Amino acid sequence: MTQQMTALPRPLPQIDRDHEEWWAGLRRHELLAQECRRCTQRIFPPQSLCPYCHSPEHGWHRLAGGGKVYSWVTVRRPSHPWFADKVPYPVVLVEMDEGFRFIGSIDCAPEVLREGLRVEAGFEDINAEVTLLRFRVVRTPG
Amino acid sequence: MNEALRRKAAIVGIGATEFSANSGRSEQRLAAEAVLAALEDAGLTPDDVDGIINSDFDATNQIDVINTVGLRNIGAYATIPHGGGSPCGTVAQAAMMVASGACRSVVAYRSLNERSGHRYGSSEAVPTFPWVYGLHAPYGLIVPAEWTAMHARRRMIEFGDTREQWAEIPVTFRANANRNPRAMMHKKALSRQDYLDAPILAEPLCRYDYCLETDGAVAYVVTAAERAGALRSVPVYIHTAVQSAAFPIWYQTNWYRDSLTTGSEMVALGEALWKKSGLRPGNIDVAQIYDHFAPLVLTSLEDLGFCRKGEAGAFVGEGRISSSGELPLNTAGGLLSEGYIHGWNLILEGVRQVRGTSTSQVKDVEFSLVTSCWGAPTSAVILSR
Repeated sequence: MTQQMTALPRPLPQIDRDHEEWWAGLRRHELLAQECRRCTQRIFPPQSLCPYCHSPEHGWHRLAGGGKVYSWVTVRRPSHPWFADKVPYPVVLVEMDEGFRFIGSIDCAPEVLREGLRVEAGFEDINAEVTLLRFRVVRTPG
Repeated sequence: MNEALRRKAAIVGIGATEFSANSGRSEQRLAAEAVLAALEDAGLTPDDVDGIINSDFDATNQIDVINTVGLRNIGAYATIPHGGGSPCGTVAQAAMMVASGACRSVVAYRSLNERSGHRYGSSEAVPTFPWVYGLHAPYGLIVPAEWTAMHARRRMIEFGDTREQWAEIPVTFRANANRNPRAMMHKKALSRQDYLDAPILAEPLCRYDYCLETDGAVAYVVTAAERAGALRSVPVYIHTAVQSAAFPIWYQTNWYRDSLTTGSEMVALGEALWKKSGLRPGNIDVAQIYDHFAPLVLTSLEDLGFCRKGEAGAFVGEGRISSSGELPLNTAGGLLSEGYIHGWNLILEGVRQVRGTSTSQVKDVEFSLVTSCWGAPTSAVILSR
């Protein structure tokens, strides 16, 4: 029984054709926002066409990686078997300095979290296809 | 639904099964039972029904309801999407179907074994999650409570909301359920202290912030207003029913938008509601506000204009939302304490308040508001006598 529980895989994303370039960015340890080649609007999450000018031609803007904790959740009762032995675990919503928000895990205890905490994007390679975001708390001197 | 349809249709029948943790029956059978009860309430027969509506999340195909109830005259059908955002949208759809003359009588239903069968609040070992779900599920935000906790925390950050303030919602709704024999929590008291002492599940939310998990079904019947008066039930007129999405909108996971504490779809819904109804929040005598999670009732009240942004925590205090208060809310107990029929049971209570048959009846109800889910393309209806 215990073996079965631990053998259950971590839930992972389905990487579909409209979003494979964004996930490829994470594999390269780059955090991307979609940028329209025609009208230069940047959006996240990515869409199949630019919602502002409807161009299908999009590029990608690489974010610098710095941001602040905007909100967070500490899950104390797991809802999915893979997380059963991970509770309590924090999940953060980070607002990047460029203005986009991303969900990720973080390398600190839940008690450390507060609104505005400075973090930087880190990357956790899960398998050949999937790299996930794992933010790091920025240690400021003093 | 536009102003031309105001009071052109009426809800003339409501029906429900019991609400339980284990119905012991199929969802198809529950649906049929609720539809038959609604027809009985209206004094109509299956042969009178020529339109049928349900919600996209419903596992009971309309074919099974047609075959079980013996609906021989169906000539129009619709399914309204967006789960918890759909319920009041089905009322708008029904009103359009009968007011246009396309149908004479439309039945709408929602059936689910949400406790004994598939539970929305837990997850099987699903290996992969599609599209935007893949952006948060791998980190352990899998079910709606875990998503909503992110929004609830943000209320604390922006407005200084406290759990003491949030307690007012589940405690008030529970008191209403304690007067309602149909409610799953009819015999279970809930004190403010019970709420404050409850274990935190997805911080900052505790179990009493969560809606229930329920087996059961509800249904209602709509006819054109001019036919409604001839039926045996007291007609409850659809004054206004509206739907609203927003741009962008994210499957209840709206953390990519400007605000986590303002639902642009709910703001747009409120604007449409007041414009098309010719009413203001002050005209509403009683409201059933979609309560999947307690803090989102506060956000909905603000977005709809019942109080200013950030002030709902104080607004719901001092007995204002109790059944004898200025704005009684969720008088049957709501999704938090009556049962979770995915928001559809709120419609039935909105009807009872106009009929004068609620177990927490508000005096002299002229306008009864029902809303659907915050954070998804959503809907609302104002019912009147």
